[in-house]
Amino acid sequence: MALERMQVTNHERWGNLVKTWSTGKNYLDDDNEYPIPTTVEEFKEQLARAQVFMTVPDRFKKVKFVEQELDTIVVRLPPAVAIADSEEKLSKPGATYPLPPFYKRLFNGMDPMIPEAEKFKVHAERIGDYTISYCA
Amino acid sequence: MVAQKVADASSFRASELDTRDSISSATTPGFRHFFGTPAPSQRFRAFGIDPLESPSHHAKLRGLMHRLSRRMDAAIKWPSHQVRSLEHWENPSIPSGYTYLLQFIAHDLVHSAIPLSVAGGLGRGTTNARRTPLRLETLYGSGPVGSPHIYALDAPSDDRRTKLRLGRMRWKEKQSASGCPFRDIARTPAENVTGIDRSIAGVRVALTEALVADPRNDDHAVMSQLTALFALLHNGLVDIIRRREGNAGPNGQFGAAYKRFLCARGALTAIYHNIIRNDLMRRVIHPAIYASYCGPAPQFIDRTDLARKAAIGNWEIPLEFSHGAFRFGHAMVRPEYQINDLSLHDLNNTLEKSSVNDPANMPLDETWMVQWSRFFEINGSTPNFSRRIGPHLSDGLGNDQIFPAFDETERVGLLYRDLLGAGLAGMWSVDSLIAAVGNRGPNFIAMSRLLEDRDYRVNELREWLSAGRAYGALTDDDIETLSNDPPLPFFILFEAMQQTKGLQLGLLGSIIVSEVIFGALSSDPQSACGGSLADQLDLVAREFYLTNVLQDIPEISNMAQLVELTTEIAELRQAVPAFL
Repeated sequence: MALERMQVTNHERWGNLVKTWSTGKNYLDDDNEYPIPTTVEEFKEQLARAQVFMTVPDRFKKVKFVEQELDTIVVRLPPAVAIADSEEKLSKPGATYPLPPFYKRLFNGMDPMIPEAEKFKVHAERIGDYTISYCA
Repeated sequence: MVAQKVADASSFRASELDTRDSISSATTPGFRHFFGTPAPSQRFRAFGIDPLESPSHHAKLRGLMHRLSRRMDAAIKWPSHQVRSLEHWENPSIPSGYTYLLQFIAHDLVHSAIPLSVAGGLGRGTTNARRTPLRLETLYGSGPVGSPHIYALDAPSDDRRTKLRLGRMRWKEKQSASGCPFRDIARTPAENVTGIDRSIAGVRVALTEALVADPRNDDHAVMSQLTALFALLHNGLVDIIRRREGNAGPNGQFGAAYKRFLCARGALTAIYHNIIRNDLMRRVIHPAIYASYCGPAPQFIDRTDLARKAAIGNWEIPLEFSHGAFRFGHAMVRPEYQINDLSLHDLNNTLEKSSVNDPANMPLDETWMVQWSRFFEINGSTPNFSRRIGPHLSDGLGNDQIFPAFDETERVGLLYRDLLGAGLAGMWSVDSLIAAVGNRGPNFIAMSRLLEDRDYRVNELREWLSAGRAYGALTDDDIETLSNDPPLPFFILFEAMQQTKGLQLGLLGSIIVSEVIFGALSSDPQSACGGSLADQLDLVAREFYLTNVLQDIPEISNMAQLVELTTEIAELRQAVPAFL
C-alpha cells in the first residue's frame, strides 16, 4: 500500500503556525495559545485551532521539533522508505511530480507541469533543497 | 468556488455576502417543513432560545455552531475492517461515485440562490427554484428551446438540437487538439463588460463559462465528469432512437427531432429513477427503513398529497431534508481520489477544478478523466470508497479559499455553514421530530434505543461532546444545550456513527431521506407504477413511436450497469485514459 502523506489544506495558515512556534509571536491573528506541541495529539489540536486542516496519517506516533541554529548544519534525512515510495510512484507511466497548489499562483495560474523526462531530476533537486534549506 | 448561484442543499461553494441584521420567519417559496411547520415549542433552540424569534441571539448561535464545528474537527476513531487493505475510515459499502450521485440528486431536488448560512436567514434569496423533483432538470435545464446553449446543433441548416453539448478534453503537454475526445463538459470563454480577463496572455484562453444547465454541476472535477457521463448516455440514446425511428415523413424533421429528444430524456429519467431506487438508496438507507419504502406503494408518514403537488410542479422540499439530513453526503467526501490509472489528486485540487475557479486550466486534462471503475464497483474493481458517515469531514472541506470565513467567528470551511444554516432554518428539534415520527410510525422509533430513550440519547451525545474539549473548547453550557437539543445535521451524522458504525444512515436520517427521495419518485407515474425498467422503457417509447425503439436497452438497475452501457453506446471501450 502506498505511503500516506501529510496533506496541508491551508498552506498560509500552516506557515503562520510554524512562524508562531519559531518566534513565540502569534502570526495567526487569533486569541489562541500555540506552545510547541510535545505529542501528536497536541500537534493535531493546534492544527485544528489554527484552521490549517492538515491530514495527519495514523502512522505518525511521535512529533519532533528541531530548532535550527545559524552555526549548525542540519541535514534532515527523509526516511529511505519514503524515497522508495516516491520513486515507485514516479516510475509509473504518466506519473508526475506533485507540487503544492500555491505554486500555480507563482506560475501565472497555469498548473505547474513537470515534463516526464525531468521528474526524477526535480525529485532529487527538491529533496536536496528541502533537506538543508532554512525555511525562513 | 467563490460567490456564485448555488443550491444550499449540497453545494461546495462559498460566498462573500454578509447580511445578518434580522431574520425573517416568513415562508420561503419552494421550501416547507417535514410534517408541516413546527410550533415554536417544537423548533430547535440554542441555550433554550429559538433563533427565529430572537435575532439578537444570533451571535450566541454562531458561537455555539462555531465551537461544535471545531469539536467535529477531531478525527473519529473508527473500528478497523476485516479487510486490512482498507483504511479504517473507508466505507466498503459505498464507493465514492455514490457521494457525487448524491450531490447530483441534491441539485435535482433543490436550487436556491444563496446559502442560508451566508444569507443569515430565510427569505433572502433562499427560494428553492426546483419545482419538479428528480426529472433531470439539473441535466436538461428547460430543454432545447428554453436552454439552447447546452444543446449541440444536429444539422447546420436548422435549429434542431437533441444532443447535450460536451467539450473536448485536453492533453496537458499539448494544446487542446481537434482530435481529443469529447470527455469534458462543454466550456467556453466570454468577454467581460467589466474588463476582467483571466486568460494567460498568449498561452491560454480562460474558459470561464461551463455550458451546463445547472452551474453547480461544475462545482468540481468529479461532479463535471459525472455530468458528462449522463450527457454521453443521453447522446447515445439519441443515436439508438434515430437508428430505429424510421422516416419521419414530410415536414416531420422538426417534430421528429423533438420526439427523439423527449424519448431519450424519458428513457434516461427511467434509468436514473431505477438506479436511485434499487442501487443508491439500498446502499445509504438503513435496511429496515429501505424495506419499508422501496416497494411500489410505500406508506409515507409525511404528506399524503406530496405526489400530487410534485406532479403539478409545486414541489416543496422540507428544510429538515435540505438543511438537515441530506448534508450527510459531505461526510462521505474522501481526502483524495485515484482518478484513473495515471493520477491521484487530493481533495483540494479536486474542489478547485471548475471553470469558475480555474478557467486557465480548462478543459480538464487527461489526469482528470474519470475511470469509472475507480468510482463504482465494476467487474470486480476496487474503487475509491467513500468515508464512513459520522460527525467529521475531510480536511479539504476546510479550505479557506473555497469556503472563506464570512462572519465574526472567522470560521472557515463547509461544516460551520451546514450547522449554522440548520440553526437559522427554524427546523424541528430532534426531540420533536422523533416524537412526530413516533406518532405516525411508532415501530420505527422502537427499533432504536437512541431514538426511543431520550435519557440515553442525551447521555450519549454529552459523552461524545465532552470527549473532545481540546478541539471545540465547548463549555459545560454548550454541552448541555447541544446534547439536549442537537442541530439536525449533526445528529444525523452522530446517529449514523452510533447506529451503523458509519456504514449507512441511522433510522431517523433514513426516514427523512426516504420520505423525500421515494416521495419524489412516487410523483412520477412511470416510476411509481413499479414495473420493470423494460416495461417503463416500452411505455416511454410508445408515447412517441409505434414500436419500442428502446427494446435493445438492457436492464439497468445500478451505476455499474449504467457505466457499462455508456461505454458501449458511446464507443469508449478503448478510450485513453480508460473510461471504464
